[in-house]
Amino acid sequence: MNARLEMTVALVLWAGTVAPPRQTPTFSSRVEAVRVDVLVTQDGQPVRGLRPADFAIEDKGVPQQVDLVSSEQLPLNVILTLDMSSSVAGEPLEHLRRAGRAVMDGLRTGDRAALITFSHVVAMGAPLTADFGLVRRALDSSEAIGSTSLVDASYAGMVLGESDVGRSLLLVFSDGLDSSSWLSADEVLDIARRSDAVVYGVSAGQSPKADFLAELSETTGGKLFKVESTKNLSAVFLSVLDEFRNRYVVSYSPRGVSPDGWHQLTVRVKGGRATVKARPGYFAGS
Amino acid sequence: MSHDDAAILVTPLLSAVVRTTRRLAVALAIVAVLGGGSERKAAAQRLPGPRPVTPQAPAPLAGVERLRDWLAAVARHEPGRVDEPAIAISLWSRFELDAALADLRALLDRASGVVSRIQRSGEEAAIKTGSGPLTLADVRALLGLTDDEIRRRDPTRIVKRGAVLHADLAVFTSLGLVVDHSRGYVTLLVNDGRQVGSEPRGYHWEFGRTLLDAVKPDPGRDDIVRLWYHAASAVMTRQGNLAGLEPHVEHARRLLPADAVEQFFSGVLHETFASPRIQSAIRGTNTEIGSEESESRRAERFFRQAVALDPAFVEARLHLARTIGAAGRHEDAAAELQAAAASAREPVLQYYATLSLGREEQALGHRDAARAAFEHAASLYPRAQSPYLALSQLARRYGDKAGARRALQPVLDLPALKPAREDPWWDYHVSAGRHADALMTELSAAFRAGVKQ
Repeated sequence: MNARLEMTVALVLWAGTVAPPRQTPTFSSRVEAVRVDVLVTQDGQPVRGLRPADFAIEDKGVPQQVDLVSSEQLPLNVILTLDMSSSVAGEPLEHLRRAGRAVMDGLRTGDRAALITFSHVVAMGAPLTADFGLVRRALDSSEAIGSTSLVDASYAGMVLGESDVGRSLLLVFSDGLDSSSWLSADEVLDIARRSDAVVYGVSAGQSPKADFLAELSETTGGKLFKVESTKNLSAVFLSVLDEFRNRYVVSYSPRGVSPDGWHQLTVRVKGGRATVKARPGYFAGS
Repeated sequence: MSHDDAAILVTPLLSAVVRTTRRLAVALAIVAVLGGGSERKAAAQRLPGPRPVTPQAPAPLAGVERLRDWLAAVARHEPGRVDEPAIAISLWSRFELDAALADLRALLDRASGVVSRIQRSGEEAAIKTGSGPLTLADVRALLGLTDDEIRRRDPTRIVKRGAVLHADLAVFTSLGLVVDHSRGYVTLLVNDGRQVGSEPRGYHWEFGRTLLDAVKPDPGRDDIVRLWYHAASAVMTRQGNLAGLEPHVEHARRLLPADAVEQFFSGVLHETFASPRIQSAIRGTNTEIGSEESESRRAERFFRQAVALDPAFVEARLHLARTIGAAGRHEDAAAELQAAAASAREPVLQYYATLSLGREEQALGHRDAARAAFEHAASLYPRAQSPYLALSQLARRYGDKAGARRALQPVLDLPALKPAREDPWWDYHVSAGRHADALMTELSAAFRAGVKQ
């Protein structure tokens, strides 16, 4: 519970935004804290035990003072956003269900999970809940039919992940290309730059173009896994969960930078040969 | 060449065997239809594939049996019904259909000369065919035409009815109600943004167009021909049969250059070609479909032409506005969409107009106007997810996380399956064909009533 309270404080990102052109302002522009989800590895293995002083962060090129580093003890909100279009029907659907259940088995006390399924229809299989049985039952009852609204569903997953305190992992699986979304990829990537959700994409099959998922993962500091077949999907999903648990949440209060616009971020670990993966920046204001 | 094609080229004895075999096949096909044994094809889009090799045609009038069979089917077919004549002709190859039409033309040419000679000199000569000589009375009985029509080589009444039969066959085969043996060009099947295979494309729409080219005095000024083209365009659009629609609208624009509807369908075709679902599917394939930008430009040109020909054509204005908006000209797009939303009578068009207007207003930074437009769209189709996603994204774009969540909630609360879900956006690219059934019924009714023939 202490960790949750701690996150409540840390979650206050840019607490609002400036008014859009020719509109009445709704929120004030007020920066309280920025948190950045960071993966640190060395020789492919996660590096543990780092402290605030070990990190060097630049926001718009201006060095910042790292206030807080949280790590794996934080509970997770895992939003499974899974493609249930007709192309998944048959064996891949069973692989997908099995992989979803594996993630549920890998969650811990305090973690929560939600399920969003999508074909052309975006639907909530299970809300964010600590009752993983609910998510399992939703997985078991899901059907594969229809076309693909990957962009719409990714957006819905992001919003759902933002709706609660905690550290949110959006795990998006698709074996195809978007064919029926209303929202455009650009619109959703723009929102991703304003969100603190981390997206891990899993793209399966011979999909010639997974640009959106790749860009969404990159934008949020996550990663895209490309798999030829869904046969080992459970292992991929579990490796995503494991990697996400081993990430750090680095927090700082921006100083010496203008609040609006694109904030290019540079995150390093001082000394050593560690590899750092974090979102390339974030957008504040309209 | 198929076995069926080969059989038709051989002796009359073998032809008789083929006809007997066909009768058996017709009987089996009828059983399949009545027993519901046919399987509906998946709702895939069809794109043009490689061109086929066409077999060499036989000499015209090598016999009149084939023509007699086709004419009998045309005369006996009840428009709109899966009847025995339709099923019989569904077993014909493209090659046989072409040969029957060539026979019709040749017979009319020869008979026309005979009629003229009778009128000049009172002498009648026999008309030579591979099945033996025919008298003018035989030809009259076979074709069901008057001497004046024969003299003018005017098959209008035959080819119009024939075009209706072949339009019906195109529909029946696409629904799997009859098996299609008229295979022509190869068609690529695209589903959910990916190629999922290929199939031989039926020949009936193309054959119908060829028939109607023979309408006299000018097919371009004939109401039935126009109705036939509109119905065909609507059917192919609704079915996502882009491979069939492309040559169809090209032919339509040559025949009916001032027809706003065919300009509109041409725009819809290229707008669909520009869409992500097609662009992603054709990546790495050898196709004549252009890039998203070039196809959008073509679409805009056709929509502009449609609006110029018929300024009250609301749906064309709507599609034009969406094309303009996609090109980044948001002020112009918003103005067109406001006009379209105000004048559209059908809820589905109001929905498309207001939903699209919301996007343009948002692009212009008009947050309140965008929200009002999205809310209007949501009120038209409360079970549609797109307006709620748009409202949520609008709120989130302006930093309102709680508002974004609230706006999204109706989508998350709805059950996943029909009938709880209904979003016309999913059908946007085929919606221009939503009146296909009504147009086909109108076409059938015109012939059932015995008028306009």
